[in-house]
Amino acid sequence: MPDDFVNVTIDGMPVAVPKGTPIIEAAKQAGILVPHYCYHPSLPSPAVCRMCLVEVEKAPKLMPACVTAVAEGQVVHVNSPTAKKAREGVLELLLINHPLDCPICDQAGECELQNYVFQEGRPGTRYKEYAKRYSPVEDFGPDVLYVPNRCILCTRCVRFMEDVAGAPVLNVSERGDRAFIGIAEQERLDHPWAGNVVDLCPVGSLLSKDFLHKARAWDLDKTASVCPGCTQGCNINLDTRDDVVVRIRPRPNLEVNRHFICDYGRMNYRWMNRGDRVEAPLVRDGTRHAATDWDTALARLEQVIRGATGSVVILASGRASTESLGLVRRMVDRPQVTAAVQVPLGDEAPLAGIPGLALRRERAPNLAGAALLGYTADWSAALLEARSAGIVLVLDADLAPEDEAVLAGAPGLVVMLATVMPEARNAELILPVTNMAEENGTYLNRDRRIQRYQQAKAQPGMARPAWWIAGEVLAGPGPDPTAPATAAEAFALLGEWWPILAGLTHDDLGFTGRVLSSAAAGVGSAR
Amino acid sequence: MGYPHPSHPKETVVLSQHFGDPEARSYAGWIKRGGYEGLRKALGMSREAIIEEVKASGLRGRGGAGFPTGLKWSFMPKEVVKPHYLVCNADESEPGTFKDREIMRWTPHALIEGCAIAAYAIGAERCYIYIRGEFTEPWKVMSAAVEEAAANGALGGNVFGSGKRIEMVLHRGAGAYICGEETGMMNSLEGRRGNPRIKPPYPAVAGVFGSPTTVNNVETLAAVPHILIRGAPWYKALCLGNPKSTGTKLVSVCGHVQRPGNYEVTMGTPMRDLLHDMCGGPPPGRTFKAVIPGGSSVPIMTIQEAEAALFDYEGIVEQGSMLGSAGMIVMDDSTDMVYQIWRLARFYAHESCAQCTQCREGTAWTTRILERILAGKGKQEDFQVLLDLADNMTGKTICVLSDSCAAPVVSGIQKFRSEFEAYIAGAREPALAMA
Amino acid sequence: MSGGDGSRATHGTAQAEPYTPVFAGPTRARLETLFTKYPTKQACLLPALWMVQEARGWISEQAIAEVAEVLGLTPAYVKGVVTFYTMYHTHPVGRHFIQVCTTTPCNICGAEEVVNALLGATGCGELGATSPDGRFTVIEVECLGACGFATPILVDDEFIENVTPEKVAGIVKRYQ
Repeated sequence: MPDDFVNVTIDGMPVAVPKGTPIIEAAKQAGILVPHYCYHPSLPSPAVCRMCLVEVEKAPKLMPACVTAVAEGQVVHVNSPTAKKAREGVLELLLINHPLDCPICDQAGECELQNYVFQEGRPGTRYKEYAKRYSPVEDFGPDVLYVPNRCILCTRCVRFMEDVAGAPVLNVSERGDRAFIGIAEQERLDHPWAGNVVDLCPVGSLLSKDFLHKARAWDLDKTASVCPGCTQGCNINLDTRDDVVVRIRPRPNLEVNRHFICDYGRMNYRWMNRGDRVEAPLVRDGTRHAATDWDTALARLEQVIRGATGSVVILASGRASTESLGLVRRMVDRPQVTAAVQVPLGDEAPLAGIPGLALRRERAPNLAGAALLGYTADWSAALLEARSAGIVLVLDADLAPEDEAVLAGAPGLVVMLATVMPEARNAELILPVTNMAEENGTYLNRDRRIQRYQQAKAQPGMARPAWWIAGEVLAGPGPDPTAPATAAEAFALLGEWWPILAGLTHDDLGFTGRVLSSAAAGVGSAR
Repeated sequence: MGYPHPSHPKETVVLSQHFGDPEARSYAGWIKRGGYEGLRKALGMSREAIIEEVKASGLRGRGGAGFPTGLKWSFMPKEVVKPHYLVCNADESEPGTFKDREIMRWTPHALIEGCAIAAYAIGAERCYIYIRGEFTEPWKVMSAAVEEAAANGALGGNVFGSGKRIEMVLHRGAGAYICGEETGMMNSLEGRRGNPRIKPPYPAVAGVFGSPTTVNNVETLAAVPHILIRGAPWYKALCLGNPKSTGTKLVSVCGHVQRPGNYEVTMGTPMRDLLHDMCGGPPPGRTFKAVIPGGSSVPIMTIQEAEAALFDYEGIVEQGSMLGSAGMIVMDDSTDMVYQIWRLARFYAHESCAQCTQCREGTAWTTRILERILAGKGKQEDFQVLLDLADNMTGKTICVLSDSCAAPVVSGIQKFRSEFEAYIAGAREPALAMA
Repeated sequence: MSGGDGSRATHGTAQAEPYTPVFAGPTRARLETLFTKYPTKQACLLPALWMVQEARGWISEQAIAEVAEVLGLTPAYVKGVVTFYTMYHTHPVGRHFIQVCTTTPCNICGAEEVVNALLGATGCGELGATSPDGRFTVIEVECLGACGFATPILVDDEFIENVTPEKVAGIVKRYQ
């Protein structure tokens, strides 16, 4: 055991944790949840909710597990009668003024007050003769409502704005049981990262207007994903109900985004649900397009590629997966290829308290991946070249109308699109592809971390990931076992051409990704 | 002396000798009374020697906790890396306590001198005196005295030519009982809400402005010059009871006594002497019923317990309460105990900083139950709820404000239960209309 | 609020008048001197708020914004601090602000009768209300720290000890 570890016993379970670890985190290691409200691993701990009081042998009184560091030989009881009684006391007090309006509360089902009270099973209240505290709902900012009646004053929101966002626009106002979370008249909760206060709120006191009364927590399916909003690569969950993305929430990744995402990323999901989709492959038949099956479409695609002369231009979206970008690039493996990736730009919005975390100027998730795979960021040069190219492949790019008009005249135009492109009348093929919510894949973020995202909703109609289309073309006509059937298989193929990815598998990436380095290239092959 | 009354023979007058004497407020007047000799002597001593002297005197914190002062000073780092600060706690807000106010009003230079000595001993060049906002007169007197002291070289960049720098800044509070708690005070001084802080870190490690800090009460600091001048053995000998409680103590007595005021007694003086001799006993035709001996935050004593106690830290504990800040609230047989306990609970509910759940909600709920009992709508179950709440509010929060609310409730129910019962049974006219 | 004192705006009309900064000229200079006595500007928050109240009688949202600006804080932060301390007024009060201690030590000595006498003599009628002539506001406060001199009251900055209901009329008269 290294010197900087200490041994403690928590509810009979021995664990060794680094010196200085708070008991609450040590308990997690032992598989024991210490109930808490004010504590949050990405915020400073004020130890005010007093919910995490635990019994520490030889200590004169109960200790707050969130700020008490472990000590060698310490014996902690989280579920002793004394500790439980103290927690029940806190819950009784939190409930005296908390409205039991769970049926209309967005937080129901993922509410830490509801959950702990449920576990405890208290049937009634002794606070009968008095009216509950009542204050009207307040509009805090573009996407945040404050319901003071439900507030338990854990102050996570205040601390997030003050200590993490560095913009203290929320406060605790007044004292005693008159206290509430306040905001100044002339200020708004409109910081680019403000939406995190809604996630941080352990009860339904801070609500997202966007999500208000939209879905019950227990009806949501949560899918691990990566934010497609910029090159930061924040880990997220796509929350869906009945195949519709209804909310994006941060998924913890201490290396990338800790527990936070920006509001731009949070709101950047409506396009995933768009209904104006191409649902079947379309091949040009004279002046019109006809829907067909994939065998026919793939055969035609192969024909177009083989038959064309001159250069190839690929115009790809920065949202395209590493798998799709890679296999599409290989599909047209010939001397004169210009592959370009689109780089939408916006303003940078850092989260002051977390170094290395920002909404980035480059508003696409896989620009580093595209660069690694040989895509240029010189979009206008590629567009110019497209005018005289033999084949132009559009991979889910968001084209400006004037650019669409230019491409409309290109001879071998193939578009792989998630949504309808009005100016594609001249295209040889229009192939329906999935959007990132409808497929598995990987993105490489700006810090060279390659991370997986997973399919959150069904693909519409016959839409397929672009890597599948390219994989089929690469394998040639007819059934071929070498054609990748899954994104993982497609990913495994990339290593053949890009050695840095050799031997690396989806499984290796886990849920938090892996940073590519020259050493990383050998990881898989070493086994 | 028993200001505003003449000195009583059973008093031992040290700190209060010049109470009521306006001349003692001026620098010249203070010098005439032997002022600043303690500081001059201290400046010729080493920091360690001063701390040892104060340790040897047995002086304990007069703010309420009774922590040994010299020991507290010795926790400050020996080397001054970050600036050290002395914070003088002049936020006297504990109901029943009004001794620091008189020290500042009548002998401001005694406090300044004590602060200067302490600042030097702990390696601080700056002392903040945090005076509660309501103390308008002490503020004026202290402001003038600090200015005069600076003009005469007792403060500033070269105190009495010693080359030592000691600056004093008065800081005005703005109405918050909890700022009398030392960590709440430090937050307030930094321009924050006066929320108590979690310890560790302790003030001597990271106090105000993140620097090593010592917080001492006014009366504690005012005693320091006397200890330096007359010596630790003299101070230590001022003790009639337990040798752990030494020196003189200003006792603020208020409520139902004939002569309320500040009495300076030797530690270990029988409380009976205080109540009957010095304060002149109960008002005519009345008898004593209860005493809260240490400011409102300690358990209530019955008069029998109070009369059996020796007035020092240990003596009062033996009789089931605490010395606290030595603010004695004396209640005679006309007192409605339930009403006054409600009034205390309301005080704590009003002053709760809102951080800890048990305090924020518990003090308010306790107040409401007592209000309902007083309104004639009490129930037998209320006793259990009140006691459960008190248990929930004791030893579970960052500071002891909620413990302080629980103390009078629990002791009140234990010792004066029949008065609660009378309201609950409807045997007594409701004292309040319920909102 | 009537009373002919046009300089003091009531709640509803406060935003209609242009705001004149408090921290200009000598007040600014006083604040600058204070800055030298603390290691942070933020530490001057309580003193700065006192200066505002001295100058304006109460602390408005605009004043909060000004203090925030001067000290490099946000208005919300300043407001959180203002509302913590009961001596800062967040709305206009009568020209003379009377605080009466009614905590236990004074309560058992008859402080509530003193309150009633003051409410009557000032014409305030009820706690927290301002008298129709705009002269007085009376509030109950917790312990003023002069328990041996029950009942103490604070009229503006003047601390008056040993007030009894009988003395109230004379005291109120001095502030008419």
